Formats: sequence, structure tokens, C-alpha cells
Amino acid sequence: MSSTRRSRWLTLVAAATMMAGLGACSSGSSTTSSAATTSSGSTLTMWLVTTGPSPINTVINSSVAAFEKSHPGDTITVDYIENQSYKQKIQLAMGAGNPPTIFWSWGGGPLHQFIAAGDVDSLGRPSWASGFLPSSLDAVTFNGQIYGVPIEGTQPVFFFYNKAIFSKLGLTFPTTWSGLLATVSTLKAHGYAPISLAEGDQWPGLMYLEYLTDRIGGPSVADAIQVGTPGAWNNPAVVQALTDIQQLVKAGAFQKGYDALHYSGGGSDALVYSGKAAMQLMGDWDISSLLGLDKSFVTGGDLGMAPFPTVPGGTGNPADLAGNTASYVAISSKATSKQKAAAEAFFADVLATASYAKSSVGAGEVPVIKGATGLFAGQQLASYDQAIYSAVENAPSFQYSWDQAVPPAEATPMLADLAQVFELTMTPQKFVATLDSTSTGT
Amino acid sequence: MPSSRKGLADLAGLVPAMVLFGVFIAVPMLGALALSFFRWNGLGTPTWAGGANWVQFVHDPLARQALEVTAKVVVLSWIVQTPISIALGLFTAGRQRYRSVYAALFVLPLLLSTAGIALMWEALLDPEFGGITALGNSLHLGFLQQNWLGDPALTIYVLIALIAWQFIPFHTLLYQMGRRQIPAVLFEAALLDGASHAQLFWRVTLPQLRYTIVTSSTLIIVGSLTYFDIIYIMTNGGPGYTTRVVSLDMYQTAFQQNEFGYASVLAVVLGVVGVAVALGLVRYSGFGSMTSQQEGAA
Amino acid sequence: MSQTVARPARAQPAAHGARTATRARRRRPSPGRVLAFILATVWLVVVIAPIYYMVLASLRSQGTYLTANPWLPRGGLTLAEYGTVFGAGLGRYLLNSVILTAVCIVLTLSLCLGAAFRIVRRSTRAAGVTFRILLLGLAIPIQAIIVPLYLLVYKLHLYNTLFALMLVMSAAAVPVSVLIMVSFVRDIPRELIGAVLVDGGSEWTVFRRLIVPLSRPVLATLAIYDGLNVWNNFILPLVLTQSNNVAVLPLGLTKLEGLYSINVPAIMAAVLLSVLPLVILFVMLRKQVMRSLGSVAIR
Repeated sequence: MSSTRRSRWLTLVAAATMMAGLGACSSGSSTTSSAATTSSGSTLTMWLVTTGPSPINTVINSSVAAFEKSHPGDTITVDYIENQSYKQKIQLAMGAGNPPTIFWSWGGGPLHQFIAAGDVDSLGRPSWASGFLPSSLDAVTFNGQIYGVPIEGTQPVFFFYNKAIFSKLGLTFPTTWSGLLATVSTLKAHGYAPISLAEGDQWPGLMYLEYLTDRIGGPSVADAIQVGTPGAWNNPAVVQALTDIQQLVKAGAFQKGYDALHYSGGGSDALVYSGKAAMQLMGDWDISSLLGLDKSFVTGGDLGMAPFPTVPGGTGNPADLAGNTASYVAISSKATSKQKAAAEAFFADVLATASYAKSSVGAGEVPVIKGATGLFAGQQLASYDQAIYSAVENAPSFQYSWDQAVPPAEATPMLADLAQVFELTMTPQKFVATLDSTSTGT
Repeated sequence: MPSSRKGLADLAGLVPAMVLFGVFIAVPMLGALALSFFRWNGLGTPTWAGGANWVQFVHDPLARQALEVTAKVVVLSWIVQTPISIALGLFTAGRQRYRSVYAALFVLPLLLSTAGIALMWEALLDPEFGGITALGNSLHLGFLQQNWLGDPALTIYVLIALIAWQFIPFHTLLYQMGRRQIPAVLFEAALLDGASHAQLFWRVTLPQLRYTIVTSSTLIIVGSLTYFDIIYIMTNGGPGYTTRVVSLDMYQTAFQQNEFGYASVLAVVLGVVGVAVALGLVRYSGFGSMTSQQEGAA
Repeated sequence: MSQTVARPARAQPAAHGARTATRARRRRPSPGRVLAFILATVWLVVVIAPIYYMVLASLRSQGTYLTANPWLPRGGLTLAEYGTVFGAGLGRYLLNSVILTAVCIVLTLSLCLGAAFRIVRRSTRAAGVTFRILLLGLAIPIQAIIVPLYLLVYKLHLYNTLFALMLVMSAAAVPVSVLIMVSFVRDIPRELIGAVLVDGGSEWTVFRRLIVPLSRPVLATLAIYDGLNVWNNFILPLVLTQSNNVAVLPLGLTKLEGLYSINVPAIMAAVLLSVLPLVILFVMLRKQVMRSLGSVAIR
């Protein structure tokens, strides 16, 4: 190949690289055009993941309509994108400098990655922040700045169990780890699958690791992992937690095929309400999920809810919680100042208000604003909602789901390797060593 | 004919396809190639990484495993789908009325969208509630009660079987059409020579089907090299990493771990393997040669 | 010999086929035929049983599709989920998918047949070079190029249009389609082409009068193959479109999935409903295929 031809090739490759990588540099122009011509208000886009017939959509849609009425000229177009696909879509849109004005987020590591790239508009310390429970804004607070406002309720994780099975065998829900093991063997002896687990999705198993690590070593262990302290995984509490998980597996605690079952299909819930399995560790959305699948199971009083047991000798507070503190929306830094102002008004005048919280309670959410206790009266699931809200209000520590809290590069191997721990094909020592090398590698 | 007219004809025939391919596939391919030398999380500006991503690839046991799993999917897909498709194709090419009814029904899996197929099989294979387990229970067939999608030794084969279930109908159609194109005189001549049914198959049917076989094999091999959908929905690479094919590995590296540079290495590797396979097919089948192999016969 | 002349369609004297068929019908079924019948029936069960299960599941509720007897139509069957599906705007998605698929098939087939014809004719060096370049694209997974592709479509102001999908999906189908067409067109005897040229026809006449009609079987094959790929593709519509009014079916299906739950019966209902236009298309195409084959093979 002649040198001129080679240089032409290099130019081509360089051009392709520019296109592939540097889209962000030439951005900004994308969202400006429409707003400039509008006289008073601006047009906003908002991406959410609450697809399907989820009741919160109705609340969000009517709140948007109300906002548009009270702020003439401003319009918000809402697009709902399925959760798994959303991750890819928002990543591409951000990278190309073509993001929506308002975007949905779990907070934590992925949001921080956007912030570090300069793609998210800081809200500073808005006045509405003091209206929320203190733990609920941690996931969107970085360097003292707040980047998002809660849009859906809190989602702590509890054990949900079939009361009928427990009373038939004369059992009460165990409060200690050894009690849990004893309960498992009793249930097994009577032909039940003690615990239903949808490990095909990989994140349900993570809940065990989160809680056990907290109960054994307290919240500081997870904090170190989440900020990427070197060697944080190789902590005795983590190793012990993984060992305890394998003990549970070896005791036959989980149903046959637990490593392939997906939560979304309803199979792990079906095991519980059909009386084949006795309990499941799951986020509080499981209540509304069960309500949709087998209404009488919930309204008939067969659904029990219990905190994760304590571990003897552990230093964690039994009232500590793990799960998603809330889900949030944030504003893209590519938005025009007019769009930003409108979006901030939407946050302050709608999403952070008590009236939005009240409507979201009607949609089955447990909001994270202060003083929500009075909102639950008369709701179908009032007793559960009230218990969840008190648990969040009183939790000394609310540990954020690790798959969202750790950087994305670490989350995938963490989930995949943990699944192998659950299958007994990876030892606890190998797990912590692998993840420590992954986290320092990035 | 003056060569300028030929040039014009070439222009009209080649340029549209080439432009479409060049703009929307080749240019992004070059982008992916370039990206494999950068470190990039999908946001902001990529930073030059030299050969670091490639070094990482060489030492990545998961990538090697993904390549092995992909090879398994490609080879076994071909081995499973080809004979069944030939047999069904020959069967449905028959003129009996009931065979055309069968042929119409055989096509059905082809028409169902992949998401639906995946959800359907997931429910059927559920070890507790699934239809296969229920069948095993009522017929007392123990071997039907497996952890189909959770057993590391079994799952990849289950997936290969499901992919076959989805695609055999298409290849059956190919062979059905291929068989119907074989002139009856060839069979009659062989029968006059005293050939048995088995000999008819080996001496007439199979050689006459060789172009169909090459076409079908190419589609199976190329298709399963990049196969993604059912595996992504049903196992997402698990249990462990036993069903994580290269295309899935690449997808997760890019869009879950946000390591776009390294993901591009995997993409380039897959592309290179694809080219090698394509060249192999060209060489050993005479498939890519631009002149007719029939010339000699004619 | 007539056989050589029409190789792609493999002509045969019409009477032979018919006579063989009649003879076969009069004979008692041979053991081989009985075996073939049995094996084919086994396969039929393998094909139909899961689809039967799917139909049954689509008639159940989310709460009972797993717990009810999977094979017996007992216990609370309902058409409710079919209503859910229509409420979710399936019609719009279906229409978009049909338009997209039809345009892609026409675009891919016409461009590729033209290219394949020129490649086979090998009149200039460009043809050979084109073919080799196209081979490079044979095994590129679309996820591999999705990032540059997204930026490209965005910069060309084609983001969120069906047009972008038409161009990209047709482009993706080019390499494999050309490869297969080349292998087919290559076997159209040169004598036929020579005859047209001697009669004063141009290359265009050759293409229109000879190549297009003789290529019908391969066009039908690739129409089905490329069409299915477009119909099922999820990742390109996901990334390259945004609004509901350009959403296609695979994307629409995910809108039936909640954050934590998938309404499995509704998705089954949607998948079964979406088969209907495909069945119609397929029946139409199938007739076409069989006619083009039949014109030479059966008559």
C-alpha cells in the first residue's frame, strides 16, 4: 500500500473515531433549537422506566398535566422505556449529547458516572431537600450537591412469607440466623421449598449478601466497598456473609431451579402464594406484585412481612435496612437555562410536594417525605405501607443496593460471580479476590 | 460491447448497495475498530489506550470461554439443524395432501417473535410449574424433570435446541424448495439403473441439493456466530458463564460495564472470525467464486 | 439438454412429475413412508405442543398461567389479556413493523440482486473488489457497531424516524444477501445471457428479462430470511427511535413489561395476534414461491 493511500486510510479511521467518540464535544446544539423560538415557556422531554400498567404512571401523567396548566407555555413530553433497555438508551443519548431534559435514575454509581462526565445539572441545596427523610437523598448527593428528586417511593427489602404455612407448622418467623436455619430444616422436612429465590435475575441473591454483610459487620463494610476502597471486598464480614449464603444453599433452603428462575415472570411469587415455598426475600414492591397475581392471598391476611434476621456476634443494628431508598429524576446539563428553570420548577412545585406524595400513596407507593404517616389511612395496604414507612424513618442505616451503588464496571462481575457462589461453583475467598482485583483495575 | 457501457452498468448495479453498506455498516465498523484502541466509558472524550485493550483480551479467561461457547453454538447448531432440516424438507416436498398440511404447520415457529418464544419456553421449562415437568410427573418420566435452565452442564444444550426449534422451519423451507427443483428424470434414470432408495438419496438427492446445503449452512453459521436474543432473554449468560457467547459478552462489557473500548476489541474479534469463516466457506465450497461451477457440466 | 439451459429452475418434462406422483399413490405405503410419517408426526408434536401451550397461557391471568395445569384448558380462561394488548396500542406497532419489513425486503432484494448480477458478470475490477468488501461485513453483530451507528444517524438528522431503520436494516442485510444471490445468479448459464445480448439486448435487458424472473426462488428465500430479521430486530429500533408513533412491535412488546414484572399472558396474546399479518404475508409469498417453482417443476 502506498504511503498516500495509507494516510487516506488513517484519515478515514480518525474520522470514524471522531464520530464514535467526540459526539459529546459538538453537542449542546441539540436541545437549543426549539426553546429559542418559543415566546414564554419551553418544551421538555422526560424519560421514565415505569412501563406497563403501573399505577404511578397515572399519577405522573396527571401531575404533568397539572404542571403544564399552572405554567402556561411549558410542556413536558413523557416517554416510558423498559428498564433493561433504558440503561443502554440513556448511555448512548448521554454520550452523544442528545439526552432528554429530565431523566430517570436509581442514583448511585451510574448517576455519578454521568455527573463526572459533566452531563448532569446540579440542583445545589434546594429548599425542598429538608422536606425529605435524611436517608432518602444520599443516593443523589455527591460532594454536598443534590442532583435528583425522588419520583417513586422507597423500596426496602424484607422477607415476605406465607403465614398459612407457618401457622400450620406452628412456626413463627425467625429473628436470628440460627433460627432461620432451624426453620428451613423444619419446612424441608414437611415437604416445602423453604425459600423462594429468583437467582436467574442475579440481583435477588445480592439482597442476602447486603443484609448478611450489614448484620455481621455493620454499615461501614458496605460503605468501603461502595467508595472503592482498595481491598474492601476482602473483609471478614463479607467472607462470613458469603459462607453463610453457601450454608443456606447446602441446607437445601432454596427451591429446585432457583438459579434459573426470573422474578419478572411471577414464578418466585407463585411459589409463595400457591403454598409450595414458605418465604421470599424481596423489595417491598413484592406486595403490589402479589396483589396483582393473587389478590386474596394479600387481602385475606396470608402475607407476612419480617425484617432480615440478626446474626449472632454481629455488630450491625437489626433495624438497618437494605434496598432502594427511592428512584429519582435528574436534569441534563445539556438543557437550556429556560428548560432547566422549568424542570426545577416541576421538581419543586410538583414532585417535592405533599400533594404529589399523597397521590403516589394512592398508587401504592411509600413516599420518602417527612411526616407521611398520616397519608396511609384508608389505603388497601395501609398496614404494610405504615410498617415500611416507620422502618425507613427509624432505620439507623439504609444501605443502598450494591448493584446500583458500585461503579457499573464492577456491578456486572459482582452479580455474575455471586450467582456462582449461590451455585457453589465459586468459593467466598475467590469471590472477594476477584472483585478486589476488578475494583482496583478500573 | 464498449467497456464504458459495462462500467455504467456496474455503476448502476454496485453503487447503491455499496453506498448503503458503506455508510451504515462499514463506517461504523471502522469506528469500532478505532475505538478498540481507546478507553471510553461512553461519556465524554475517549482516551488513547494503545494496545492495552488487546493485551487485556489476550489475558482474559472470560473472553476465551466466550469464544469456546460461541464455537459450540455454531458447530452444534449446524450439526443439529442441517440433518433435521434436510429430512423435513424432503418430507414436505412430497406431493401427498397431508404432507402439505404438515408443511404449513411446520412453519409456525418461524412466525413467532423471539421475545414470545423465549418467554414461552421459560414457562414450559420451569422446574416447578412448567409444562415439561408436568408431563414428566404424569408420565412418570424422570428424565423430563431437569433444572433445564440452571444446570451448568445442560443449559447451553437446551439453548441450542431452542435456537434449532426456532430456525429449523426456515431451513426446512429451503430444502423443500431445493428438492422440488430436482428434475424427476434424474431419479427415474437412477431407478432404471436399479438404485435403492438409500442410493437415490446419496447419489441423486444429496448431490443435487449441494447448493441448498451451502446456502443453508452459511446462514446457520453466520447467524449463530452472532446469535444473541434468546440467550440474552433466557439466561443472560448464566448459569455461571456457561452460556455467555461473544456477542453477549460484548454487549455486557459495553452497556452494563460501560467499557466501550474493550467491547470493541470483542467486536473486532468476532468480525475477524466471521471473515475467516466466510473465506473458509468460499474456499471449500467454491461458493464465493464468481464463475459458475456448472460451466464444465454445460 | 433442456436441463442445462434452465439450471436455476431446473426444467423437466411436465408429465414425469405427475406420473410419478400417481404411481406412488396407488402403491401400498412402504415401511420407509410409514417411518417418515411417524417421525414427521413426532416433529409436528414438538412444534405444535409449545404453541398450544402458548395459546392456553394467553387465555389465563398473570396469577394463574403458572399454577394452573399447563396442558388442560381448565380453570378460568379469559380473553382479558387480548383486551390489554389492544389497549396498549398494538395496532400502531404492528403497522409500523409491517411497513418497515416490507420496505426493507424490497430495498434489500432490489439492490442486492443488482449488485450480485454485476459481481457475477465481472465486467470491471470494481465488481470483484465490491464483493470482497461486502464479505467483510458477513459476521458483524449489530451491537458491535451500535455506538458509531447511533451518532451517524443522529448527525444525519434521521434519529427517531422509520426511514433510518429502513436504511440501516437494509444495509445490515446486504452482505449475506449478496453472497447467497451471487451463488445463485452465477449458475444462470452464460449461454442464456449471451443469447439475449446477441439479440441486441443491453445488460439492463438481461437483468430485467432473465435474471429477475429466474432468481425468484432465491428472492423468495431471502425475502423470508431478511424479513424475519427485520421483524424480530429489537436493538436498532430501541436505540434509533424514541416516539410511540414510530415504535415497532418488538419494542411495543416491552411496554407490556413493568419495572419488576412481565405480564406473560399479555405478551403471549400480543405475539399470537402479531402472527396474523405474518401468516397472511407468508401465504401470499408461499403461493408466489410455489408458482415460480411450479411453473417449471410441476405444471
